[in-house]
Amino acid sequence: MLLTSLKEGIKLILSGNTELYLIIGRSLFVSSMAVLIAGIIGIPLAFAAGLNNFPGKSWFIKILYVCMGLPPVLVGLVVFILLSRSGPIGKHVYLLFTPAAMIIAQVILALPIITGLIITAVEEKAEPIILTCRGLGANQRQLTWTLLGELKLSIVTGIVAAFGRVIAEVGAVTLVGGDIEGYTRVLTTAIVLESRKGNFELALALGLILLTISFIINTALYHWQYRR
Amino acid sequence: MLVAEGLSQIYQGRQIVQDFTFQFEPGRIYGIIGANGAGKSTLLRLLSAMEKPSAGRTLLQGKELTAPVPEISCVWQRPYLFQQSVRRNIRYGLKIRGWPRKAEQERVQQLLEIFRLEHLQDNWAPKLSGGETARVAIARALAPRPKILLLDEPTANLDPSNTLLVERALYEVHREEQTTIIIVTHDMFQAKRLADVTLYLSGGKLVEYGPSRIIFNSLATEETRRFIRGEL
Amino acid sequence: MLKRTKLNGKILSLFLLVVLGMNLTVAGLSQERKELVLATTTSTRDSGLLDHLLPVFEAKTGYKVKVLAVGTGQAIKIGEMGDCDVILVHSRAAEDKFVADGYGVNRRDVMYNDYILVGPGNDPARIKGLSVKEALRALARGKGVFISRGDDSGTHKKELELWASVGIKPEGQWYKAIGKGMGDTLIMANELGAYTLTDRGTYASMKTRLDLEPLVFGDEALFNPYGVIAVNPERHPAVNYEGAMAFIEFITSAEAKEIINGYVVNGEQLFIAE
Repeated sequence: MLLTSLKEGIKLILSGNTELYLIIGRSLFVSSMAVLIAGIIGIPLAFAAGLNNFPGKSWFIKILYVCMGLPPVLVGLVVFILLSRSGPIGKHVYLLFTPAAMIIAQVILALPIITGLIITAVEEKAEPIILTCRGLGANQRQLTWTLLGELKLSIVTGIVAAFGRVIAEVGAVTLVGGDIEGYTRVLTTAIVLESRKGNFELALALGLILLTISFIINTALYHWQYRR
Repeated sequence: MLVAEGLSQIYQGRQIVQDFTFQFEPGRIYGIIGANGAGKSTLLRLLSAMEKPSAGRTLLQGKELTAPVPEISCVWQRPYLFQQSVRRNIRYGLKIRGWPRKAEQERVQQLLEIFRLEHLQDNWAPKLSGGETARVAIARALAPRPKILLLDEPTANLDPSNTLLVERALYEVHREEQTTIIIVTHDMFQAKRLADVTLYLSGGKLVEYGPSRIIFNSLATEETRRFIRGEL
Repeated sequence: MLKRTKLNGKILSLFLLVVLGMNLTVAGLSQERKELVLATTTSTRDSGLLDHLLPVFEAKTGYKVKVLAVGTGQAIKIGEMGDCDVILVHSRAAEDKFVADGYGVNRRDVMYNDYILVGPGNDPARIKGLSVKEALRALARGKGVFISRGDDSGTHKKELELWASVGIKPEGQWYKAIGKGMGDTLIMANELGAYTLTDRGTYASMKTRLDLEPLVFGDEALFNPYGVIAVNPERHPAVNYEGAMAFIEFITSAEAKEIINGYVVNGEQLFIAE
């Protein structure tokens, strides 16, 4: 069955099935937007928290680490309740069952991963870099750029890890997206749907496409990392 | 001229540096010696304004230092090299000061030669050996022609040939550019070889100082004599 | 420094490209059409029935229907929270409560599908053509093997309800609860030459691979009725009540009935319109 589904998967990709491309595109769009937003918030947050001491810092980091493993279904449920017409946000802006809702849920999943991984790197590696830069006459802006450059591997690792997690999760996107055909159906929800219908070959084929995406992204990271 | 006025530092109730007052004249080499824990590294961070002293102040050309300034370059113990090539590491200080490309290339080339790093210029800096790392770090600090260079144990853990290479290169730059060099070392022979003036630090206090030629021959205190004899 | 800037530039432009492209796609998909959100059970969507019904409705009314296919309980909950406009579910007691609590209005019967008792062709327990109650009593005599899903699913609950209705506690050599899905249960019954209770849809889709035959069906006790309910606009003013009413009107119309009754999978009619 695995072999058949491999063939099926390749056939499917080559078949020019528009809905399939849209599903792949939607998966990539939702997850990259989520990771982009989580990065914009998480990277500065990680640097700010990692470089400064403040009361409750160790608790902040502990909670962050716990949140790195948040169950997607739980996040989906909370976001659902918040975005529902009966919830506090849904009264004002109604986003439930849209890609935006899926992005919000995935941002919540991605943010602790990005922040947590980068904060660890900052705590471990930033001090000698800062000392070196300042000892060479760098100003605050130059110091920040150098720090970002020196820690870019950790930053990219955090982003890729977060992306890998959100693009493969199904619990949150099903709940808040609703798996609406042509609108909020993504690779993972399509896999669930096809499995339930007993179309295991198709489901596996979609799974292989998902794996391929992760593989491409991780390979790109690997090559970038070992360029030297 | 770099002037320290009553510099003191206390960490968690422990006095690390105590009332350090000294005038570092331009264009000379100073050696700061003393046993482990004598407060040498902390003093260096206070002199460069990396740390805020608990009392006292540092003045550069009469102006109080509150933050690190570009005129002073530092090389720390176990130096950190950027994840770049050797050439780009050395270029760092020039890049951030916006040197013109041509001047930048010439300066880097000059330092690569002085520190015998030409054959390594395209190597990935974090993978260098200890001796090579020390040479790159010092060349990088010297690149922007700082008025003052602070060195914290630059040759600790280096083999004799690397130590000699570093000392010769330092001396060459110093001679050419009249860089003031303040070198913290636990190796009194290095101070003797390199420094015009040697300062002996003990328990955070400046115990005695004097021209290196003389101080090693006519030590004032019993403690310094014991240190020199290797008993401390 | 230079190299990094270039790399960042590349990543950034790639990102912008992706974002732009996807935005266009999403925008293209959600172009201004009045939307109607229907919360329903997975069975109606997965069976493929909605794929036949909805295009007709959309063409007629101009609404774009967004289908949320979830469990009956979840569909009702979504309705209670006001996050859909209309629900199509099969749980009479819960539906009545939904209306009684003021969450829904205008409940209508739509259709029903049915459960069937299937078993081997040689029928050792002799249940063919009996009523459900007689058939269950016959099975309890142990002349054959009965396989129960035992997974607390809707079908399993229905089966337990049926046993309770004849006052039999199913246990013994002849009764095996396996804790598996419908497909696996049918395959196992097939292998063992045993009886089981199945919904017609799953049976129809697997029929060609099975030697099992439908033995007891058509009894009202085996019916599984679907109701359609509009979400109460007084409780949730933001819902599309007009669209919900249009949908209710459509799905109970003669035209929809024809589509429902004419929907056949592997020669089996899956739903019967009311």
